[in-house]
Amino acid sequence: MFWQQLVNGVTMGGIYALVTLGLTMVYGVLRILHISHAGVFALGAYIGVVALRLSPNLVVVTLLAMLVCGLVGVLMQRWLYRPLLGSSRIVPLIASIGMFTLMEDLFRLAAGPYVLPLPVRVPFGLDEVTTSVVTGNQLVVLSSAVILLVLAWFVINHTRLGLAWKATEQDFETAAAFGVNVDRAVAMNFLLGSAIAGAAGVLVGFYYNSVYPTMGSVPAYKAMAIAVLGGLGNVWGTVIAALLIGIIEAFLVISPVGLFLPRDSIAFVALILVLLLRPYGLFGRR
Amino acid sequence: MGLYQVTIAITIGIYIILTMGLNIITGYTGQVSLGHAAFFGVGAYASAILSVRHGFPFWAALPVAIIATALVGAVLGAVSTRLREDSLAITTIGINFVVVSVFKYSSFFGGALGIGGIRYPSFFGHMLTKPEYLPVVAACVALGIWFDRRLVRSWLGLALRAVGQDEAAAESLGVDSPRFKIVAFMIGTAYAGAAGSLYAHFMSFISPQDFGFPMSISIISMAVFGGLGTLRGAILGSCVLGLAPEVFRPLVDYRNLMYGAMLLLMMRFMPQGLIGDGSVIWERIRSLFAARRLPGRADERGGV
Amino acid sequence: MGHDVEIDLDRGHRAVLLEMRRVSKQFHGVRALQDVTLSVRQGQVFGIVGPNGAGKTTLFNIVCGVYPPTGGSVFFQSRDITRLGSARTARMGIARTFQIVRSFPRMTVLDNVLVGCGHRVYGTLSGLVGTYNRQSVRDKAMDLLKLVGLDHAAGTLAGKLPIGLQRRMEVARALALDPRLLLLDEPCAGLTFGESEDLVGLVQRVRDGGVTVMIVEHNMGVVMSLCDEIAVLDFGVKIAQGPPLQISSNPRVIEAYLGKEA
Repeated sequence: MFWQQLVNGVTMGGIYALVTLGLTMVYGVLRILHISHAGVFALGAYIGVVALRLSPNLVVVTLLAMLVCGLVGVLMQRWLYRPLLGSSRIVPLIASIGMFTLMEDLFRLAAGPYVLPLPVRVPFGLDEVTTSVVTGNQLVVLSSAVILLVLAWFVINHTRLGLAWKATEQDFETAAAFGVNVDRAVAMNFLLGSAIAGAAGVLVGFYYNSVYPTMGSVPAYKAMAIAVLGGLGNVWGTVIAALLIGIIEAFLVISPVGLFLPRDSIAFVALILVLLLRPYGLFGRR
Repeated sequence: MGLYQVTIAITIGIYIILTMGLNIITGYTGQVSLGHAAFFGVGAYASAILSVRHGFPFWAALPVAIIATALVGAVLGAVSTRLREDSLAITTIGINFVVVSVFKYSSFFGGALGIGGIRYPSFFGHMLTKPEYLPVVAACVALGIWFDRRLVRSWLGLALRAVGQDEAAAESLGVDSPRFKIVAFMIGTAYAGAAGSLYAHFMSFISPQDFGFPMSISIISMAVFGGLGTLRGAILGSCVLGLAPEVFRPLVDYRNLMYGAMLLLMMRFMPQGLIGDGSVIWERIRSLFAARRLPGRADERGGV
Repeated sequence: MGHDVEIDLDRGHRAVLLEMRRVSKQFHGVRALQDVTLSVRQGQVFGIVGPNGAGKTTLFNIVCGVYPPTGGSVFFQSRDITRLGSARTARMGIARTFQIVRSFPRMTVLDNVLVGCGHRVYGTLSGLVGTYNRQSVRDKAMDLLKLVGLDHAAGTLAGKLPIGLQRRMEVARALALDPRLLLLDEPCAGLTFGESEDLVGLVQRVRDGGVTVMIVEHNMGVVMSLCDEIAVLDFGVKIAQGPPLQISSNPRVIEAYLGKEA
């Protein structure tokens, strides 16, 4: 029982980490609360549904979703956020909320208000492996999450691009003075963050075998809470916070506390409690 | 005026009061709150419980609800002084979720079913009808406008705007920003409390989901759409976005689409809002009245 | 100027206005100030110089109460103000300008100054509800704007003013506090030669009006011509203090600072 719940929690935590990663990366370079990131997440799931017609293979479906979502992320940055950099911070936030509302409704109009299945085929029959603790589907989600997080870790810590993001994080002008192509660095940031969110969309769609227009609603705000918990802009703090929230949720919902504390408020309760003690989040800098 | 128009007018009046309050917190004082609906709910529930369970008349429940909400707002204000900008915005979302959960899962607040049987106010023994309730709401809106104008002209209002535009500079001039943020939250949430009380007695039935996060988004969208930091923007934003669902009613299937697109395009192409300071429309209006401006305070908040 | 500021005209022995005793400050283990002791007398223009990163702005921030020091204490008019915080320190009569101009960008220049005029009200409750836009208050603010030569721009939004003029507005705004001590953090940075000269004249007028001035400045010409006394910081340590001529001939100072510049 204990181990099962732990695995349930870690699986959810891995998904949260994937969704929140892009959010906190974007915050790191642009200081924008990118609510429509959750729209990109849902878009990923829908691209997955469409991609099924090409190939039922999970890897192919995920890569396609990542490609499209990455490009959509870059488009958002180019068309929506770049012109708004000079305005007060609430402007891009509201614009992003508008974009998210719009996207949700577009999904509904395009694919109908129904729950669609996402029956992908998993390579190596990984989803067939079932033990008393881990289900095959959880193995699939967990291993994909690990692969994507390692990819992100590599790009952030071991490439010039990651270095460029760090420079941009400090200060646009200084970064530019040191020869960083700021505009390109920001675009690549959206590309990677959005691609990973798209992959998360496919994985969630696969895990619950359901894709629906409002599937981004809860992640939109829960991911925000997790990002703040991890210290906005702090990528590794975010991953740890995501895992913690996943695990806490898994154990609280089966405890008596779960009776009066709905699952989706747990992240916020944790956030409020933590912020009272540490105003910059669990792993916040400054 | 038919009953339909009266309903819309009352709804918009309540929106205006909500948005005016948020404008004081976010527009003047610069504290982004994405949980204003929680305080709307606190006011509504306070008023509902007082009148249904304790027999308070509306006229007594309203001020008590306002005070209760302002006290809860003071707590949020105190929290906000510990948080920086974006963390605060997210935390207010959290507060909204938590407050709604409390309403929903506690039997004291009627649980998921909410509270019903709230009556229209009585006036010398005569229970008001819906059309007669409209002047009550209108009077509250007028009172709110009057208070806002007083505030903007007072030292308090000046200090709030200073905190909102540059906290460090305000501190260097003797303004203790924590104290003033708390005051801003108290005033802004008091407006929400009044709106909540009016809403409860108007609907006669309230339930937790009326005060959820989407409502908070609607309120802040109204403030930003009209022009954040200006009273006229708060009022116009409430009217336009409050009417939008009615106007788009024939296109009911595309309502959210239109709403999202409106917000998106407005922010993208007119980030100051419809008639905010510096927006094209407002500059045009002002230049029409340019001749009447006084030297020395020419560019100040021209008019409302 | 001359509002209610009395100078102790007992020449040669003017009263100490500000005293820092063994003040230290560390940021995350990095030493920004180390055991700095200095006193500023009433009516002086007191210069703080030193290479970049010497701790000059840190020293200002501690005097203004932006953050408390990690060690030592600060006395103003013999009162301990070490942990008073920014706003209360300001209300006691210590005003400042910022190294990078901080205006209230969406307020008019006049309103910017009026914020400073409210210092007697902010600590009270009843005063807050009164209107700030009274003639007497506006007259005072307009006088200050005249003093810095900005009265013609009173109705402009502060954010639309060029930086040089915003700097002058900051000085007027700081003076609205009726301060006894005015701290200027690199007031000439980014100004043209002519603007710098204007600013020197302005500081002299302020001093003649009875306000003690502390100034951090890189422009040595300005510092030498303006200051009565100078303290030199290097890596957070005070390495010299004295009148300008003495400082400019001090070998340690030349080594640490002037030598590198020249």
